[in-house]
Amino acid sequence: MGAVKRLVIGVLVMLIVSSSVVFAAGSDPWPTKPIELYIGWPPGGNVDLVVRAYLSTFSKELGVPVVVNYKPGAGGVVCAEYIARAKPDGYTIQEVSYSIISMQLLTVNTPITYNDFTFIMGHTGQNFAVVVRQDAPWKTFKEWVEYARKKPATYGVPGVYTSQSVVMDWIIKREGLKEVSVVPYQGGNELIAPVMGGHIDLALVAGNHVPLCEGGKLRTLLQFSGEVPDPDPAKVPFLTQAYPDCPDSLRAMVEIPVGLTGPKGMPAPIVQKLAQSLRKAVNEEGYKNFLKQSKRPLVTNWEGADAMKRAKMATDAYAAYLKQVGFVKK
Amino acid sequence: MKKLDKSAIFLLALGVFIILEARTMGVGSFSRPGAGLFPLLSGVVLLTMALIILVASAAKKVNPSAGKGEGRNVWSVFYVLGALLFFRLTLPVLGYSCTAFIVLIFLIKIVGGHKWFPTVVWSVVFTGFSYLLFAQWLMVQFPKGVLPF
Amino acid sequence: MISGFSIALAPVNLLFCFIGCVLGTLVGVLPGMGSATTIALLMPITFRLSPVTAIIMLAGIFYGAQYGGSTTSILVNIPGEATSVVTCIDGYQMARQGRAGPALGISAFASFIAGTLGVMALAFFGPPLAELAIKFGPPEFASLVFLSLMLVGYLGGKSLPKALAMAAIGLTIGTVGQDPVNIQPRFVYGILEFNSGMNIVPILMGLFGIAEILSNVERIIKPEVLDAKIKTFLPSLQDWRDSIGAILRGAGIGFFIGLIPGSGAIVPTFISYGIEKKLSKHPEQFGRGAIEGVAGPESANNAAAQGTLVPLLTFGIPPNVTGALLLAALMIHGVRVGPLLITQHPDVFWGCVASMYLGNVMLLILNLPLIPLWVRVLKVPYYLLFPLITLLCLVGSYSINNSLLDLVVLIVFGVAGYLMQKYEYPPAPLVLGLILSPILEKSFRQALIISRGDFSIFFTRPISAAFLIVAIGLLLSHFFPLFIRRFRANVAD
Repeated sequence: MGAVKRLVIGVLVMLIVSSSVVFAAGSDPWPTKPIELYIGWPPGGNVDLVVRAYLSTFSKELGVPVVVNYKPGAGGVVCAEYIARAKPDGYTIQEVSYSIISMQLLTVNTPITYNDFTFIMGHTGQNFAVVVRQDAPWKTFKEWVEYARKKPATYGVPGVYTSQSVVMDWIIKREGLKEVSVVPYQGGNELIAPVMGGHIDLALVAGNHVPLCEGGKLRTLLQFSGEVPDPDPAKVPFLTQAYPDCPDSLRAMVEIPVGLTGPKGMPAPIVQKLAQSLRKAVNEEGYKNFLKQSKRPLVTNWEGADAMKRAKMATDAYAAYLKQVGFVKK
Repeated sequence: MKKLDKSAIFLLALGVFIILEARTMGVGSFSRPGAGLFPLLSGVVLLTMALIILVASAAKKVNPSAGKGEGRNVWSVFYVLGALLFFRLTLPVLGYSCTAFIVLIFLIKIVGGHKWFPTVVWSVVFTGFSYLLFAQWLMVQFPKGVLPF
Repeated sequence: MISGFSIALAPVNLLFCFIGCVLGTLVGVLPGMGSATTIALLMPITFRLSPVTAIIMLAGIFYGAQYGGSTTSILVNIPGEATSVVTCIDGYQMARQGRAGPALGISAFASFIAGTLGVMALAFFGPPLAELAIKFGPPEFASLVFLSLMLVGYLGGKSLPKALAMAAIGLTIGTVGQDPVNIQPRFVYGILEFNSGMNIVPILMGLFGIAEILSNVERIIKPEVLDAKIKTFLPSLQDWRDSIGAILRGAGIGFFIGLIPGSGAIVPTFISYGIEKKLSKHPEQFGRGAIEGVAGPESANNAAAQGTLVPLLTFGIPPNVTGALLLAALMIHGVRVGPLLITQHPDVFWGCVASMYLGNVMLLILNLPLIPLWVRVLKVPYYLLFPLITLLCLVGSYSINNSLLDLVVLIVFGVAGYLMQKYEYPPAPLVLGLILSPILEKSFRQALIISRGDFSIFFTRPISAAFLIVAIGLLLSHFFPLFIRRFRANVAD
């Protein structure tokens, strides 16, 4: 053959080969580009710590970089709205407390509900507890209840209508206490100083009390979820032990984990891949150490359909509670 | 005298607005404050101060020198504001670099009034430097626009 | 303590302290970009370092930002951080008089002195003081903030009604968002981002930065240059004599208020300014370039930054987002921050403390030679400077929450600030009201819930009563001279 012909055939062959490589790359297993993981609170918070603890293994399992973006606002709802409206291709996901998905959305003026999300996998529970200062006169929760029958008592909550405060409200009503005042704060960090200083009797805390219990400045009276951090855990009852008749729906509310979500309509294989990688990441040594240190439980059976079911249960219970207290979404 | 009146009147209206809005929120009482109590109190203070300023200005005979129209270059103010609005509207469409570049050119040339060559040079420099600083180093997430940067 | 210094002086730690300080200064100079973002970005890198080294670097960023924030306040009237707002008032005026050098210098020295005193107080008295600070409850907070509000008159220039009007507006803006007690939306008008309140950074940048630019472009006939004579680079002996009292008082105020969990480093700067103006023999100079108005607040904000670290290190209570990040960084490195920190990880605690001192020294050494450089920035022709500043304000506002809405807020407050300058309304009281509003309202309502609606709680608790007495005293001292004059006028008739 002539030189020109050979050149032309050579070029054609190259073109065919390279384009097939391009097509093959196109049908590479998902993911093929970095994933954006959103967090709806400022850096350094509860959810951020969880993500940082599993991020490197998660990223390694997926084979692509996972980039963390922060999108705070309206208690996590700004981020949730953004995710709900994103493309369900698996490249935009969010690590969120599943309670946002079921509850916060009911209180803020937004059209989004939990039906607008794909629940990928919930994995880590919270450490919710009722604590008092070290030198408080009540050694057990029941002692405080008896005190509250006679004297004006107070307890602090990290926010009105949060899951713990709903449960505590149920306990108060069940015990028939009428004169107890609820003092609202914004976030768990604001509760620590007031309860240590005795300005409020009890505080409903969400994890940042752990070092203080270990250090002997606070005592746990009742544990809603997670492990008791006190030096003598056997003395502290769980919610289910102290109040066996607490309805399941309320218990579901405080047992809601944090986990990954994405917009609704994510294809099943992508969800599988994400859940698989995440499962590996949270079962790995480093993450287990993180859980041990923060005394939080690893949660299983919050995937896919199960998660939707439980979220629905918690949402319905919460909606009923809001109706009962006369809350109207403005 | 007219100048002071204008600002006090605006504040008066603002105070009334705040008070009216506060009342729709439910004021509660002093010992059991509702959502509207604080805004109501602030609105009342604002209203009172606006009245004091208004009365004081009416009593004054001297014409204050402050005034919007007396600036030498009011148009520049509008140009800058226009540029700011442009940035807000165009950022999601064109992305950071284009928008910043256009805004810089506009401000340096039209408002600052210099020749084309230094304008373009400096705009390129500032856009490049700020892009590297913000988008690359500090990883600010700008909306994706026309160009990849 | 000695072992702490030996740890801090290890070459590796010194290096990272330096890196942290440089980064922090840069971040502080950039308007809007917070130390929080930088620390968040760098945290993964710190995994390869030991906990002590990591925290030393991150803490360097924390302080560096404090030093850097005042630079832009003085040079271009844009507070790099909310704690530098008060520095704008007199600092910028000093710059316009060609005294940017002394302003920057006294600011650096004040920060250094306050930082050193603060570190010593932290090291020797920190933990017991922290226990005392816990005694502050809602009634005390409410009274303290009420007292701070009384100082608004001192921020305002000539007209008290105008200052109070601005404070009232600031208080109202502070209520935007969900009500803290029954989460009812206030002034939200369906804008989702407003549910968590309005972001203060675009408001500050608009009121101070953009407003200044708008005023300047109106005055200058293109392409005239904003005339900036430069007189000297460093504070003179007279400057020192004027400032030393302010510095020491500011350090005290800053540290003790910063110590109280929940108060932050902003309130002490306003209090310091108010006190310096009250104590000054020439109060009319404030607002026109009085160096005490820079020295006191700068000292206060640094001392307060140290103070806020006390509840962080002793109880694990972070003062703000940046503090929460430091906590997170420690946690990730396996260090449990809390009452056991000193006993379980004394190397971290004392290494931290010693590095804070070294950080202060480094920042002083870093910042002083930079002063001539910064001052030269003013020599840049305004037609180039203001577009760059405008761009930085835009990006800074956007970058906090990646929010286009914040750009609109920037513009609106830019216009507002411009009009306020025209009609002679002071912006600082608005900022004070904005910052204090949430704390005041929350504490007030919390106190009333605890006392079941009984107002006497504010007067029967000693600390709260003390603050209220001082507040009422301040209020009277404003009106008393007026009464005396009226009385004398009446008697004379």
